[in-house]
Amino acid sequence: MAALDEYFESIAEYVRESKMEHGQVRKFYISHNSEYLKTFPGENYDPQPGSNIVLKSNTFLELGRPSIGSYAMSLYTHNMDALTDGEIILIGPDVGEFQSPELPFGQVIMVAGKELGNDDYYRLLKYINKSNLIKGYMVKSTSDNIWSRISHQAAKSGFNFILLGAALMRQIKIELPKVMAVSILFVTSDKRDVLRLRTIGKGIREIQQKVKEKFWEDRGVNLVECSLDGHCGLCKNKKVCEAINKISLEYQ
Amino acid sequence: MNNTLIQKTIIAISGKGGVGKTAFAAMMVRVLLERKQAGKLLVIDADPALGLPNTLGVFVRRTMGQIRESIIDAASKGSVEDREDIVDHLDYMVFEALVEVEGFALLAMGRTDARGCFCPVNHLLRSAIRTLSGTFDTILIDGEAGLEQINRQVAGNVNLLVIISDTSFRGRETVALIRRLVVEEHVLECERLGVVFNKVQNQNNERVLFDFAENLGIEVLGVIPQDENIADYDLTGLPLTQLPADSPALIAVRRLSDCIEPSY
Repeated sequence: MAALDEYFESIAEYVRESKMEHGQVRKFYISHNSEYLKTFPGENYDPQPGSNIVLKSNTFLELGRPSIGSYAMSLYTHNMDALTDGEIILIGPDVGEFQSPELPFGQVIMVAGKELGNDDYYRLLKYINKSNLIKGYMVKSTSDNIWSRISHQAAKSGFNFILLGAALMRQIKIELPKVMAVSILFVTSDKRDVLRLRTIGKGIREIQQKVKEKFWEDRGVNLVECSLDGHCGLCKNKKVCEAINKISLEYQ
Repeated sequence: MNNTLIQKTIIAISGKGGVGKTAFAAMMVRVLLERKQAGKLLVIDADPALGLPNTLGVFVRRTMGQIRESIIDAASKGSVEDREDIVDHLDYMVFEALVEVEGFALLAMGRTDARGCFCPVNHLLRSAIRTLSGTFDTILIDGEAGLEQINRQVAGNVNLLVIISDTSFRGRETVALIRRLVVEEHVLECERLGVVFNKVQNQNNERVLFDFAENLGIEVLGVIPQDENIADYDLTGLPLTQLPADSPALIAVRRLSDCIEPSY
């Protein structure tokens, strides 16, 4: 989508500036089929409801707590030159390199594919990173916030951002077969760097909203008008309940 | 619909206003932590008055009531963006409302200003709480006199319902009412139901209370004596979890928890 291409340029500029500013920029290259993933004991994790939650008492590292700051963004492009497949960029400390047990957190997922469409983008926004990929890595997210915790057990087993990036890349390529290249940026340096990301992402929500509306419109659903029939008689709150019923079904 | 939370034990506390439910809940938290038998402990303040956080010395930033308001608000306005966001954000919001301190976590239900039933909101929140609760081994719910708050917003099934009463006639009337709500009207499903008499001043009172319980057909889980420490702590705003170890009420709660223990 051409409208998102400028964000790729902005991210590239952001990485260059970060390198010049504090030099704490590292790049790793990994194949999503890498054997690296298979060595991690939390592989093929299929959590039961509630079991992925990492409580504070078991937290080795907390990323992006609401009061500390976070930002998450996902982008797609048809331009295969916009990113390098398998590239993981880390700005800031990796797991085990931190001074404080909580860090600000930025995550940008970038995908490229010549045949990618808005439907794929919608799925990327809705499903990727909402699931629990790795045992001991908990994610709670909104459309642009991301709050995660790494458990002691996961850290002891070797969890780091390369592993997380590789797991995300694999999930993306499995769920979205038209994706030909994935690159992921993680930022853990400081809140200022995360806020700069947020500034870059300004305006993307409107684009994403249009994608969502179009997705449902193509399926004959006008989300504003659609409502379920209720049996609440003349109750003036009926419409509100209908709207929430729909949300409830989606949540479950 | 299966209302059972995915956890080991749920204990709910109910009773007439002012009988000492919140103080009891705070002392139970203290005792459960002392005994280290509760595992991962989640405390839910289901009373809209929000008395428990202060009694536990915990500061609550956000309540489930506020989350409920934002859901109702978004649904009322009919914004597509807001509705979709609710689904995506619910886990985040609920986790943000969870206060984690040394030894336990607290979720405060709070109150809502939104008028109306909004049963689907309660259903949505209850699903979210059920998901969150799956992580914990023991859940302690400080309820209110009515059981509806517990049932509608937290859980429909509990392992143990503890009804707190003082020595007053009104307090005992409420015990009878709650028992009827549970046993006959199934407002809340529970495996075990019992009463704790609180602020008891002498043994003569105890005789009357035990007779009442026997006539009603309800188990007496324990008797807690009047304890001046609690009044003092309430007056000064100190958390009841810091009561002296030899505080009469605390000693009674420890003894009582032995009676409750088979629920684990």
